[in-house]
Amino acid sequence: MNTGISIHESLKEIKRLKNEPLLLIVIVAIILFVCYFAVWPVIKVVTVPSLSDYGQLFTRSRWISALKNSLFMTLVSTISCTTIAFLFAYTIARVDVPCKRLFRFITLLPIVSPPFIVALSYILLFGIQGIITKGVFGLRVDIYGRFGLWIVQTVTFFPYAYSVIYGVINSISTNLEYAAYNVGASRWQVFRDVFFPLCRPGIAGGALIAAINVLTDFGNPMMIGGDLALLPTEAYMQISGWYDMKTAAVLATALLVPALGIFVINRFWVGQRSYVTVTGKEISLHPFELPKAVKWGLFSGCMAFSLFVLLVYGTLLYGAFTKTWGYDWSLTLDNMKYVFFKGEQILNSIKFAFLSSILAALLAMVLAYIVQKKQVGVNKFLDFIAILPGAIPGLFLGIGFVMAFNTKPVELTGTSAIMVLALLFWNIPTCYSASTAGLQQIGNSVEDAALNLGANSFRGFKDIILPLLKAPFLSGFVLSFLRSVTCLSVVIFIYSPHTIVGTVSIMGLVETGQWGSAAAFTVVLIAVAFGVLKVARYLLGKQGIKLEL
Amino acid sequence: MEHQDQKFIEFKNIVKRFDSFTALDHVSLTIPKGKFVTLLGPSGCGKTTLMRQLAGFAEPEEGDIYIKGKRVNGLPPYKRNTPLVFQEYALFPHMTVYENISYGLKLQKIPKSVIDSKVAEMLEMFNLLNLEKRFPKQLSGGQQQRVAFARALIMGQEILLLDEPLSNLDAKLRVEVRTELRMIQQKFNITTIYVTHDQDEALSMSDMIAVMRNGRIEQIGSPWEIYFRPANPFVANFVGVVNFLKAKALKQENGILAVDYCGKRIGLHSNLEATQGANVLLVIRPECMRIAGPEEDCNNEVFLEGTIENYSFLGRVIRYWIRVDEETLILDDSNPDLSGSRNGKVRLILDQKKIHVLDCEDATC
Amino acid sequence: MCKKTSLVVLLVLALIASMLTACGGGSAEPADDADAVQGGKLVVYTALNEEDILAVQKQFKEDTGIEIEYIRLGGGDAVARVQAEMASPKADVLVGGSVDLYEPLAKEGAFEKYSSPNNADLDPMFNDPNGYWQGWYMGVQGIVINTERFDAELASQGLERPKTWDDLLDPRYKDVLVNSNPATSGGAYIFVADQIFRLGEDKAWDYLKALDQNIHHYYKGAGDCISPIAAGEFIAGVSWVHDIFKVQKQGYPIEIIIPEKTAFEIGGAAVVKGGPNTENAKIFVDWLLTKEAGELNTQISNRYSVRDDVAAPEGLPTMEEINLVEYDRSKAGEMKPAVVEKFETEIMSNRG
Repeated sequence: MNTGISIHESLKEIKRLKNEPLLLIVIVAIILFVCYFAVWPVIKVVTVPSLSDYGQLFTRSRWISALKNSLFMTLVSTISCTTIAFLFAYTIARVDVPCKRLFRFITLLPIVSPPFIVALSYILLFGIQGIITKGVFGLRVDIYGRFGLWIVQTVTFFPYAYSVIYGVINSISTNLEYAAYNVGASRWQVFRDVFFPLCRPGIAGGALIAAINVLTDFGNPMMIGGDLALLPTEAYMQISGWYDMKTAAVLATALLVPALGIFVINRFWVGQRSYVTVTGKEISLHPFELPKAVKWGLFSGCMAFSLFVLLVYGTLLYGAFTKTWGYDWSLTLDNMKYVFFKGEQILNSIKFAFLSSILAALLAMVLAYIVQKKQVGVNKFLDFIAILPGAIPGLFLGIGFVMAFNTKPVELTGTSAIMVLALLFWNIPTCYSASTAGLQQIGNSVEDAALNLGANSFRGFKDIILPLLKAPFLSGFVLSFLRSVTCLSVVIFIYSPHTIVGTVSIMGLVETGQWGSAAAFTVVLIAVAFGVLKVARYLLGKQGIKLEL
Repeated sequence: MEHQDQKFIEFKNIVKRFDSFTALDHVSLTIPKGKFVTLLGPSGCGKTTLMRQLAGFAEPEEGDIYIKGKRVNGLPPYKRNTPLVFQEYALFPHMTVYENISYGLKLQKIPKSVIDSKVAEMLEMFNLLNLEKRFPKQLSGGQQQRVAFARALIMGQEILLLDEPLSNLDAKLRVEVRTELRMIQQKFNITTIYVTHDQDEALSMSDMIAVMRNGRIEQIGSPWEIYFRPANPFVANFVGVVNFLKAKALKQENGILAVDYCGKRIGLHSNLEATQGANVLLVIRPECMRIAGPEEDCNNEVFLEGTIENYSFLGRVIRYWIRVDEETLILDDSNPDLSGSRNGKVRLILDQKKIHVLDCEDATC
Repeated sequence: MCKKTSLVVLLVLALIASMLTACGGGSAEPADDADAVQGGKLVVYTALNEEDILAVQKQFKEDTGIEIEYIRLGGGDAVARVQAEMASPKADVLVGGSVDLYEPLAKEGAFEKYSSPNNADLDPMFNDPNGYWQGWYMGVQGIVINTERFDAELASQGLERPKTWDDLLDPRYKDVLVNSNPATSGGAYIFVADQIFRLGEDKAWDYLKALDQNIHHYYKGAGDCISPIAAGEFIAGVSWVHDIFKVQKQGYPIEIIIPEKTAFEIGGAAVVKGGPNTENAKIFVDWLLTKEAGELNTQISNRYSVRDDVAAPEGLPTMEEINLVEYDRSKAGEMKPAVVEKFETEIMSNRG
């Protein structure tokens, strides 16, 4: 009965769209566009192998262990990522300690650095001949395999969990905690009974984001995984070792299923348990001062972890300017020569990242707007397709693009367009959630007021929503840009001679043992990413907008 | 023309459902030109929903809406010209006062010089001079509210919709704005629909009040009718403090209904046709009774005897709770004695002309 | 406000325009065929090192005026790409990597038959009997050892530098050896095949399993182990001599040992069928076989030229001085799927 009415309602809303032809066109165009470039490649990959091909997943012993290892690594790395992320989020949001700028920087650094390359630093610092492990502590630690991978993945992916958890903690009014103190709860009781339960959806959300990233990580296992079989690396090897797209598709699909699972849990289970009320009005009191021991304990935790990350990246930075990586530490600028020689690739990185991010941000904003503010009967569907690409592993997306667009009618392989499109869809969920959060801050009546004064949907969007969305639009854009500059998995199968990007070169350099040049390249890429971030912050700051990432 | 003015805005059999919940249940309402009509009712009664149908923010499932005789169903909000003042003002946070007020005119591509002079007029009318370059967050609540009025009124002065626009103001300011608003409305002869749950606002400003409950209109009438001649106990209760006394009808004769209350025969001004012995409900406002002086001769009056249980000094009146038989009646003494309140046994004299009688045989009672 | 709006519109238009031109850039490529004869360009997929292909690019441009656009990949990746693009090839020529990798692609019809006039004087083993690929350099397999660590940790235990493949079975090498996976590395497969040709099928598997006991882990590519060994993470591994030599020249404390009965690869080049600049691809293959190109490659990459008149890389023994195994290339190609499968099930699946 109830659903009958909802369907009826939806149909009526769809019919009503006749009055808004522009909106109708936009919606249809978006649906077609997204389905063609996000859903079609997925279908293509999933349908290539036959059922018996899929059957191999459960018979080949290496794949069974790949499946098990992937799930195991996802579990342990997610736990550590989430723990560290909570530590940082809580300390930065709620505790009055120095060095917060440093801590924030630490939560950003791994996002803007290309994957896998950092593994070189780990090997140098903590490997069998590690400067720290052997040099300082005289230990003989074997980091190739689960243990090393766990450490690297923790550092690489905790920022993704952090941003979710931080967002949630920031939105919990301290008034609630004061209310609990007011009725006689101790600090610990407040934390346990009020604060933590309110954080739980954020923690779950952050954990799931981290989990998807860990599950689909392929750069780090390649470098430091040793012989560990994991789904993404096996899929990659099927293509590069066996030229076997079909088998790669089997493994990619095996990766897609748990990724989709995590995604669905996050969306429908965690999403519904969120207590966050977006009013944007509440005035919160300063957080209640923590006991000194706890405060400095948290500080030390964050500081220790930050120093660790700094050490790792510092090594990379230093290595970029030394003669031979890990052996001859005398300084040189030779490695940079190569980078300047490859200026075009850095330009490509910036160009594709810029185009894909700005288009993703625009598309996501329009989508978010329609989903949040218009009753068009297909809101839930639109919402779903906007975040769906978030569940598609980058590697899978790349394979899908190759398979779907390498022949007519839409032959895109080898073009810049395929790079931009693939990155665009990879970025849509990031931008979409930023825009959605921004839109939820804008009261419905503000836009109604514009309609009421004679603005049609388009004018209302342009005059009211667009200016108000500037900040979330830009934060989505900047975050996407940073991710894209440093992305490897999406582009590894679709670049061509004139569309090579920096990360591809870095991987090539690592493969051929030119680690110093690889480090130099990475340092330049990180510098570019932070440069863009700085400029964006500066420009926004001039307009009084604070860029939150 | 005359006819059209009488039906300036018309709702005909409006039905609006949200899933299984019926927000508006066959609502019909006709609003003549230049009238100030208040939709009054508790939250969830459908009053805001009804107004939003008129502004075009939602469409009814059934029924028709006419503005100036033209059916507007399906017409998008921006083609209706029904300026609305929102409860939370909904000022555009990124626009200055000037930009906010002029926005609607700008959309109509009106020349800037015309816009400027109209905005100036509004700024003056709403006492906003020198604030035009400020952003909403730099204004006080009262100023924001006046900007919201100006933004709506500049759109032409035919129709104005007000959605609880005073609810965010403090009590004193609210009363001031009420008067100003009514003056402006009358000056420009604006057909106004006002949504509120505050009966004081409704009674003090309206030409006509529609009291709503559960998606239906319970009564339409002038403030006086609504207050003294409520159609049912709900309306009576909603528009002010009231006492209900259960009585039995005795006889209707020439507009005087005789009833029996606890063995006392009371004659009341009422045209209610009630059969003998039927249950009726007497609706008595607290100010329609007075306490007889200790020595006063009450033999020519209708009076009840009771005991004062409690009282509350409100300044211009003293409110008494008086026990009469099984009931506790509320009585306002509008002429308080300087020596203080009374106590003990008293006699209540009823103002027969102002007592309203409701038929108690149907379900509404 | 108005200005801002038009600015935004302009920006969006510019973006769309740049997208469109980007699309157009790809589809316009085949049209370039017309001017291919004079200069023009050439799209190369290569498994050579970055530095090597850069030198080739520069010299080839000087000699012919043809501009090379290239992608550098691992051998397997390069082949995978050519195969994936068979429906609409983007590359003109595949160069570098063992010709073993080229065989399956040749069978699938990914290559254009081309026999360069310059290959007449070469040993026939460098020319594909079917004419699909062309051998143009040779690489030899060897053992790389980190001398500092070897001397500090193993020499003290009385171990001498390894001289033969069998020396690597010494249990004192446990967990300080690294190798690469034949499933993903052409070089690693040649190493496995080498053992089969050297020892016979059964003994070879005994050898590989025994060696596996000492291997810390298998890398993806044959060259991957050199840098970690150079940096001291591991003490010894198997790789290409020319690649080891290159890292050694950077100043790392490593040494090359070329054991008896080692194997060699023939580095290939092939014209991709249906590529956008096929004529230029043929010019390129001809060019690769010139003495000058051979010398350039030998000098930069330390690989051996297929031409008799190009000397061995400076600092490395000549081909004649090296004791090679009887390597049956066609048999190696035939048995590859079965061998790799066996390696997967009997060795790799016991790991990770």
